[in-house]
Amino acid sequence: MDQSPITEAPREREWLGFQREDGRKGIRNLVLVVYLVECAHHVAREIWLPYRKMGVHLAGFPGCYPNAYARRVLGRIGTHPNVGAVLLVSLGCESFDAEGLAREIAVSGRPVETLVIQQTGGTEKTVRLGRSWVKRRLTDLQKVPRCSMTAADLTIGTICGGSDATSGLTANPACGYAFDLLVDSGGTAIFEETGELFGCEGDLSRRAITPELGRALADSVSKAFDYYATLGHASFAPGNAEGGLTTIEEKSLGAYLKSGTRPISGLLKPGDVPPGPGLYLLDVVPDGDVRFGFPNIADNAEIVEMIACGAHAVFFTTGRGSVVGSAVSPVIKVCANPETFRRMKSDMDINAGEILLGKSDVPAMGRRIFDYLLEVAAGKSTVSERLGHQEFILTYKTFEPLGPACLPLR
Amino acid sequence: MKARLIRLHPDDNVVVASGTIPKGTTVKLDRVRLTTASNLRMGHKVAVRPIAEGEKVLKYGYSIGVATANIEPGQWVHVHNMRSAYISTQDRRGADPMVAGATENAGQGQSPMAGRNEADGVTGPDSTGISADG
Repeated sequence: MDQSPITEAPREREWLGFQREDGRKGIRNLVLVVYLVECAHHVAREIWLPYRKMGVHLAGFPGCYPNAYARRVLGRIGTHPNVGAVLLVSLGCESFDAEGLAREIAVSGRPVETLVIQQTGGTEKTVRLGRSWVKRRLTDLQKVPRCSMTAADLTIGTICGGSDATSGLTANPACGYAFDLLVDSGGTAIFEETGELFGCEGDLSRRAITPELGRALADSVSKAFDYYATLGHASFAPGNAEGGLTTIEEKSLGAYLKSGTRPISGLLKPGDVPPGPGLYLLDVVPDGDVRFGFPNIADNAEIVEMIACGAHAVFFTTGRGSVVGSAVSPVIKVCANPETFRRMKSDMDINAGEILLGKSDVPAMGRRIFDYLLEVAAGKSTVSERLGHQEFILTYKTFEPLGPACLPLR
Repeated sequence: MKARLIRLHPDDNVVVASGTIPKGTTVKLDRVRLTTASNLRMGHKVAVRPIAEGEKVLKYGYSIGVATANIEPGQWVHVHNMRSAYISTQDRRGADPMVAGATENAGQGQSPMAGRNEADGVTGPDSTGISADG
């Protein structure tokens, strides 16, 4: 797609973020409670419940078998700039590398504690100990040093969920415009879902900053094609067709518009933090043979992966109407369909459907999304934050390390 | 505001309804005059030029699939008369809700990624709502 010119320089706005000891800057200041196996989920949830609207979030991994990808993602989540302290809750006999995770978080300068249910003596004792630890950290976190932040300090992800044919006409191109503004401001933008880029390979390659990266981008889409072909399904839900989308290519082109028009600086895999500002594609489809099922069992799996790459917040465009938020990073919901907005107004941050009604256009809406993002970064709650949404999914996957062509600026 | 037809790219052979447009509505679009052959809902597509069976359907200036029947200007373009060149489209029952036998066309033809596995049109209860991502 042609590169759109930016006629007006993005507005320079400054706010106070949270300075972490490892040098990263957050837009939220959270205590994170993490269960390391489903068997510890209830105990972790009981610890979290009284504080769930006080800046404490819940995340975790359900499996008892080890998985390098899950370990890596939880390491990134535990050291995310929005997170100030982490409580790990282990049953005791699961195979998750709890010590390694605690060490990684401690090295980042964040307070971390591990409670092992089998050692502390069961549910009640662990809940009591956990709540007391969380309560003390909430007090400590009020003393975290503040730091100046601008759009150049932000890493933002984008995803679409519950797409219909309006998504590619309104919310997705408007988010793409906001992405252009972010990249022009020196910020970092991540788009994803190679399983929804079928038909976009040529354009992706042309936008890459090196020919080698261009080939790597096209290869990642080709890998996604093979993966989905083996499964016999495209990333295409019944609601997509009812909403007027006919094929995965059509959905893909609409989804692709979220990436905006700027050059693509690199290819990431879940947990890779971009080495510098610019626009990146996140490859969420596992490497190797199909092993653990669908690459994206639901939207929040990809949201978690973008957060693991350092996303401070996520643009979520929806036509049919999704209600989700996320643990760790605020989700900004941009509604593409004016009819959906009318029905589900109380779950949406922005009504991009106004474009279809002739009340706005893509550049004006893109600017509105960008300005809203800066308000959210400065502390304004998103709708899903106010409603208490904290969805989190992490399951089994396998990835190879990035190839040499993927990050030319590293 | 009255619903209109949106042309997204000059090369496109389909345009998109910005809202509900009743059957029999005559619309002038650039130099073309067309009459909608069926009711159109928001976001659905209608042909602006004759599209021959096997021809690419173009939206945003890019191919979004292949026509499985000859399509006249004004006709609704959806799963009943076009298919993906990549992987077939499923719905909750493994067939399209609007058109009986839609999956008969699914998964046939040449894949754009030559030499790769061709996805087959999966039908039956196993395909129920599995691809949950939107």
